[in-house]
Amino acid sequence: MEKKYINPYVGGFLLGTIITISVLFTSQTLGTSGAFHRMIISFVAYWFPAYAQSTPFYANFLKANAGTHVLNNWVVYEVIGIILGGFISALFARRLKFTIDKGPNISSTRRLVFALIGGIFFGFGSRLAHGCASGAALSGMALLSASGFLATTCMFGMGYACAYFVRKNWI
Amino acid sequence: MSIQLIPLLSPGLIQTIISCVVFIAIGFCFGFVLERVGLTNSRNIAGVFYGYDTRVLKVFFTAAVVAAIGIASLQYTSILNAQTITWHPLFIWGILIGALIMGVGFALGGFCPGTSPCAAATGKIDAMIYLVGLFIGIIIFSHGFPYWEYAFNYSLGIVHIHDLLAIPKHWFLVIFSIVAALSFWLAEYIEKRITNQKTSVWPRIIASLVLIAGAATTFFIC
Repeated sequence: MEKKYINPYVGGFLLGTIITISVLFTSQTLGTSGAFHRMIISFVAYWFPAYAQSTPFYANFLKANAGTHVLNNWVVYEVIGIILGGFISALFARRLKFTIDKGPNISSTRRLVFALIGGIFFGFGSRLAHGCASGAALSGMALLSASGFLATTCMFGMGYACAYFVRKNWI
Repeated sequence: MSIQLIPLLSPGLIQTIISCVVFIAIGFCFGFVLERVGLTNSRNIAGVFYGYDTRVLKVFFTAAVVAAIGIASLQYTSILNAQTITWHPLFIWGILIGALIMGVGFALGGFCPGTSPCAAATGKIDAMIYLVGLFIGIIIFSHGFPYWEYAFNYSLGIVHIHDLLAIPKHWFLVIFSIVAALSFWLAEYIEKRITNQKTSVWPRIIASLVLIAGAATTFFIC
């Protein structure tokens, strides 16, 4: 029997406390998308060194970060923590199983295709915006940065604008 | 003079084992909470767009207001020095365009880069495929970087929302908490209309009161 989810307000309170503690001890808020970017950079630099040297983004990044390993960064450790935390929580809540969550009226294949397309959009957008939902939007608002409020408004606004067209996927 | 206790871990010491452990611990708590509130299920996340499940809004706004009050209070009490915080500059075009693109990805994919690794760790196959998409999106971004380099780098510097609105920070915190509280009531009203399920009124009353009271206390320490 799987455990019930905790109240979202309680969850939000805990999350807000974690952000505060993170700023207090590390001067950083939360972030995740930067870690995926660093994984790509280290992968490309290792397997396709010629391509990395001839492509401005990789070449500049590697030059600017010479001396330290690309993956030796706080955001990478944080994502390792997120994966561990999610796994341990699901383990104790007995929610650890292979599933595909989708709306009742679509096939699994359709769900996976849309997940892939959504991921491509989000991956691109998060890098252009200097952060994702946690790094730019949530952390930005926590710091009362105008950027965080702009990111949140645009992200949810566009989400609502698109939701109508993909409603079959979810409801 | 502010206490120079913080940060215990300066970015220059990132290589040390202790900072790795601290960041893994913070990530662990983050992932644990995301899983416990149900944000590893894409249907629970996408529900915010259709009103059948608005937990994203509740978690997101509660976290933002609590953290905003927490960080502001630490600054007011001089425990935290503003110079030590990594502020977010207003990359206006990058954030505007990037966030709009993220919105499309949000409605289509149902995850964000934070929830997807967490969900993938619990066995969600859609989250794993979403992660593949994320990598592809990042590769496209990196490959064509010169095309959007200008938009990416265009910055207006560090702009605080309360400065933009020309109101004191503690006033903004109160307004922020009231807006959050109103959004909780609206969200639960819509949720009830759509799902026809009766929910207790107490969680949102307590959440609203805690946030507004928390924001109000900053008046005494600012």
